[in-house]
This record gives sequence, structure tokens and C-alpha cells, in this order.
Amino acid sequence: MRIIYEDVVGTLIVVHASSLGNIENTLAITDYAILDREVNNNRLPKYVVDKIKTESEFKLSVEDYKSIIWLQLIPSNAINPVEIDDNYVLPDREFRGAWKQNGTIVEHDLIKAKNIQLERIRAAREPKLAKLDRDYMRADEIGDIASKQAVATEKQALRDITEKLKALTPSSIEEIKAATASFEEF
Amino acid sequence: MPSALNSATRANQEAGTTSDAFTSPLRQQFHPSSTKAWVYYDNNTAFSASYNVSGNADNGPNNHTITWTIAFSSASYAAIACPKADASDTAISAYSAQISDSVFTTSTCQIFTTNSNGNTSVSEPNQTFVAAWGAQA
Repeated sequence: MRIIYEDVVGTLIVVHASSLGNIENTLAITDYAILDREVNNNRLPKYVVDKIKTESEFKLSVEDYKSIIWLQLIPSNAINPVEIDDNYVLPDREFRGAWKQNGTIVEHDLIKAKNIQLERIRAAREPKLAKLDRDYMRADEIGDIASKQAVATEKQALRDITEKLKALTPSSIEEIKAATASFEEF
Repeated sequence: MPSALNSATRANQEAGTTSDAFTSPLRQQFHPSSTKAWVYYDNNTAFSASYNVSGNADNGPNNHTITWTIAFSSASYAAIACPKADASDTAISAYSAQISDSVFTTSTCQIFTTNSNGNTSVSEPNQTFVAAWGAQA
């Protein structure tokens, strides 16, 4: 069982629930006093604990199971929580930070995805720019103008590598990837 | 040696000092040394295996919250988290995990994972192990 919702800052949360059997086994071996405490703490429905106490062979129904999952795993301030099909395939996690909810579907916020990709490129080029800074200083110390110009050209190429993506108004993740094909060279 | 086949009570197990009673599968979980909850979760596709865990919330990249089915009696319990290496077992998968300070309650435990090599692609472990010990009664 899986449930998706957005939290108060708009982050998409995906809840993966344990199986019905796992929950059932745990409850079946738990002392009544502890179960009562969980009821008092609003972590278990009272009617489920009453069933455990009264039924000789306790079996958790699907309805019982779902009520526990919703009670324990979905906060009261969750926005638009919905159960999603177990067979629904979530998007690739490469842009997990850009996931957004559309009903029972998970989509990408393409502006967020673009910004994530820009940050990745900047982080990846940072050590290369730092090395080129050192190369430039060494060339400067010995008055090697040709090397200085070569380094300057290389640094500019690194700075320009984000230009295509920055100018893009993306309509798909594929477009974002295509605009940063040379990113893989880092 | 025990003089009779006495069954240990939950209190016996929690105290862990009685030598004249045997424990049962039902009671052994209450001993202080017993693992009270554990889980092996996959980032995206599956809730792989667990004990006393009702679910795993994927809060975003490198950020998960585990919820215990039966809570601990106080937040004075121990939990560890450990990411699994990727299939290549190479240094690029030098992941680590931390337990959150702010979301560490009797019923939940938040896990942050990182990649010390600063991998700029996905940068998440595929799977993570979590286990916890403490008092529930």
C-alpha cells in the first residue's frame, strides 16, 4: 500500500506501508497494556484493539490495516493524501526533488528540475574552475601569456555550459537532459 | 540452573535478571537486548522487509522517515541506520546515514543519507538498513 501527499512546504511525500501480515503479526504478540497505550496516543483504532482482545484468532482485515496505516503514517496537515495503485511506477529518482502531485499521479515540476540540474552542473564544474584558477596563477607568475589565454578560454567555456539550460523553458525532463548533454563530460 | 519450567513474564524479560524461568517466542522481544524494530527499505520501489515497522515515508532525496508500529515508551532508545553499497561495491558508493535529531520520537525516526564523494548524479543509496533497541513497555 502506498499513499502520496504534499507537506506544508509543497514537498511530495511517498509513504510505503508495511504489509498487512507484518502489522498483524506485530499486533498479535503485543501486550494489551501496550495496545491500550497506543489507542490512548491515537496510534491504533480502539475497535481494532477490541478485536484483538476478543477474537481467539485475530485477523486484521484490509479495512483495519488501512485505518492503522492512515492513522500512523499520514499527518493531520498532509495536503491531498491519496492512495496510489501498488502497480503504479513512480518516475525515475534522478529528479526526485522536483516531484509533484497531480491527483494519483506523480509528475515533475520542470522549473524545479531545471534548477536541480543547474545546481548539479555548478557543483560539478566548481573543482575544475578552481584548478584553472591555479593554472592561471602559475602562468601569470612566469609571464606565460599564451597559457593564460588558453586557461581563460577554458574557464569561459565552463561558465557558458549552463547558458543553454538557463535559456530553456522546459516542457519535459528529456529536454532538460538534452540541454545539458555535455554535463556528463565532467 | 532453573529448577522448574517456569515461563518468564514480560516483567521478567524487561528486567533481564531472572535465572529460574524460560522465555517464550512471545516474550523474548521484551528483553533489553532484543531488537525492537528493524527495516530494510528500497528508496523507490519496495518496502523490502521489516519487523515492528508500519511504514517508510520518502520525504525526498536522501530523506526518509520510519514509523514504528508499536512505539517506544520514551525517546531514550537507540537506532542505527546504514546504507547498502551499490552493485559495483566501489568507493563511488561511499554512502553514510544519520539519524535526525529533530525527528526522533517514540514512534518515528528520520534518516538522512549522503554520498561523501559528492556524486553529482542521483547521489542516493539504493537501499538502507535501520534497527532500533529500547523499552516499549
